[in-house]
Amino acid sequence: MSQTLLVRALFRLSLFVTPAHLRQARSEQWRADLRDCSELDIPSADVVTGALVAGTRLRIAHGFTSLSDPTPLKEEKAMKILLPTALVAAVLVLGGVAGASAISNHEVTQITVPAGMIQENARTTPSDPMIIDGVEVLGGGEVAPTYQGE
Amino acid sequence: MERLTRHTPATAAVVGALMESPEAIWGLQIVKMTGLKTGTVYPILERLEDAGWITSEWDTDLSRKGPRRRYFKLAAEAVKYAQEYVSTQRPKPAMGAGFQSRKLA
Repeated sequence: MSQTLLVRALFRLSLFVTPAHLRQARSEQWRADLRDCSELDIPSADVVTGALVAGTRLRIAHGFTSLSDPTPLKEEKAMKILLPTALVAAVLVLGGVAGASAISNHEVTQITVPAGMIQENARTTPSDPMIIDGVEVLGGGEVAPTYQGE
Repeated sequence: MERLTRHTPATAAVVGALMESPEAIWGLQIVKMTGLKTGTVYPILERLEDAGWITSEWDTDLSRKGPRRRYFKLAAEAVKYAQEYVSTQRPKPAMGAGFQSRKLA
């Protein structure tokens, strides 16, 4: 996802979580900030992040139901379900990204040990290693280290 | 006008920036002046406005087309409270500094 698309998505989410009676004013304010943020060297991603936090804060402060304005009631009801769901989804996505990043940063190190120092039970490979095209492969797709004397 | 229940250095920084500016100031200008994140400044501005400490107005510059900027100004009756608020917020020593001094002692 490009940064522009991400900014647009976050901006829409910010407006979505903002209470209906404040949405128009905040939309104009944040759109002006997004248009002019480069003048102050502030990234647009920062602006939409701030908008999302502010929108969420407004939603919490003004509650999930609007008694004074019956028009957005249907949307407010949906928000009761959608907002917690969106927050849980965001946490899961961030966790997934962090996990994927950790896996991609994992390095496989080739260890060379002098002959005779390896005991059979010291191997980290499974007892029945997977063989693909004559090459011993571990479960995670890593090539098993070769030891001298094996 | 309500007294602020939460006393934080970030709020003090935003209030301080508003006090420094004699005229209404753009929200992103406060972000720039304080060095805080927008995710911190925007909610503080919302809270200050809800409490009646600041007022906001739309940009009247017709040379800028499209959506209008929102400018914020400290309310006249809030100046005294703002001075008190800022003066009570003293910078706290960082945890790392304490560690360092204990280590060296």
